[in-house]
Amino acid sequence: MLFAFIFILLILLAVFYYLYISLIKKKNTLKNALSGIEVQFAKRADLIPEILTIVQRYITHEKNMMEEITKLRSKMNELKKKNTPNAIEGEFELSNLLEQRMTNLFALAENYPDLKANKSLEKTMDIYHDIEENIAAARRFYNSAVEELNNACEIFPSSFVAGLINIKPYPFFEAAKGADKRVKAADYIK
Amino acid sequence: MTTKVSPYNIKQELYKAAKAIKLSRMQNIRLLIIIVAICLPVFMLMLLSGVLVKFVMYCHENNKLDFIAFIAVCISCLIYWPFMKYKQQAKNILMPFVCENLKEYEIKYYKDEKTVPIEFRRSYLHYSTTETLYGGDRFLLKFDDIFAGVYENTTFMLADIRATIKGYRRRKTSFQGVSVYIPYTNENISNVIVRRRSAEKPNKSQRIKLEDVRFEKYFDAYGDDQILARKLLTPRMIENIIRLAAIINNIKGPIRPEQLPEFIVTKKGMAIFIRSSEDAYEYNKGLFGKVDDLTGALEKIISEVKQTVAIIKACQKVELLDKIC
Repeated sequence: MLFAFIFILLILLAVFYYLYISLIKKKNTLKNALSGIEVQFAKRADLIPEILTIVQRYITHEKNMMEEITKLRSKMNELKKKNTPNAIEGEFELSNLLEQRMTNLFALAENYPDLKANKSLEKTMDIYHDIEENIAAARRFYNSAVEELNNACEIFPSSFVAGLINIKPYPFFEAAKGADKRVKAADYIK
Repeated sequence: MTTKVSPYNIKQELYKAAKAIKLSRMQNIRLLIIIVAICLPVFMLMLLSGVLVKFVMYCHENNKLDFIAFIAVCISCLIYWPFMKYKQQAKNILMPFVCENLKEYEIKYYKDEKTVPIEFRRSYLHYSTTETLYGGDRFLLKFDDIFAGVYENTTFMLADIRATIKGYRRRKTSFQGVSVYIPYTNENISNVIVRRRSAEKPNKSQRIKLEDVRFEKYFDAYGDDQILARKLLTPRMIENIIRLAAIINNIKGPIRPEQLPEFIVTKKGMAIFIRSSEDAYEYNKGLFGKVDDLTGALEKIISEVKQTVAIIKACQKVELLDKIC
């Protein structure tokens, strides 16, 4: 009887250990994916002041938009320090908002031929678009890792182990709402 | 798909070629007769005198049956030699006609990898395939009948490839088929491998799980870097790969998973591999076959080359190369 009990206990321990390892691996993959996004966010944050400096020379009456971009950028930097799922979700929302504002800014720049012809802006825009592409790729990696971890956190028996070791589901990094809509530069020139 | 040979060389040139092939055929038949004439009496003599039986018994008692197998393989190779030699000689005669008929692709023919220009050998044969697909020295790769050319500004190479896994007592064929290689230089992309499901996992590569269900049903993607690989394998690119797979399947016949194309994208070039159970670009008549009309054999090789070049056309059609090159 005792042997049977020990045997069952050993099997349960082995299953627990297997699920524990699998969860930790998934969490680490997710952290890896998240750090990939953070790196790209940091690159974008470093580039934005350069873009704004160039744009400000030509567009002087759109201070609100510039200020909003600067605020979003600094808010994102603040959230980066907290590494909780809620903070991450907030950071993603801000990132989407920042992306939208930057798209609007570039659309606005289209209306200023001198600015459009500026070589420095052209260069920084190319770098910016490359970073955005990297963010999109990193987001797909992150979402794939989130899907695996969340499935494990929500499906029994790994959900039980996840509860014991306090691993929580992470938020998906969704594309900005209306990101596929065409931007109307006219709305910003009023 | 049948391809008509252009009329410029039909009569005179092919007649000369057929004559040359006939000559080679005669020489090789003579060689075969000599080999058989030497081997057969020796074998009969050994059999009748009992030496052969004694030798087999001796090997059996001393556990040296491998040695008998080795001798049998040597004799088979010796007999097979004239057949191989004839095929290669016939191909050497026919290939200039193939190149001449495919002038629009500026086709050049190389019988094996040793004759290929060094720039191709470095980038394609060694780097792209051995290193990326098979991971170093695990595999033995054999490249035959290599064609290099240009199709609408895209440089390409086609080859008949056989990859065998090392370390087995009997070598296991891992890949047999044709490959299309498109060289370029793009430092911004990382190595990406797209293999059909159930193929071996490439060494030193991470699995890239993609979100497209159709893609995941047929393919497995691998790469050095999760983010850079996804940067290349965008949803649009995935869609293009699926479209290309459908087009290639139509080119090669009915859709079968084992005929799905496999891709390798590196900084130096892209290679597409298509499995096939038949040897491509071969002269289809044996040593005892008639060589009166070479048009059929020529059309077969030209049609096979054109089918493979059509893969590049399909790549351009689905805009697969736009993002890479």
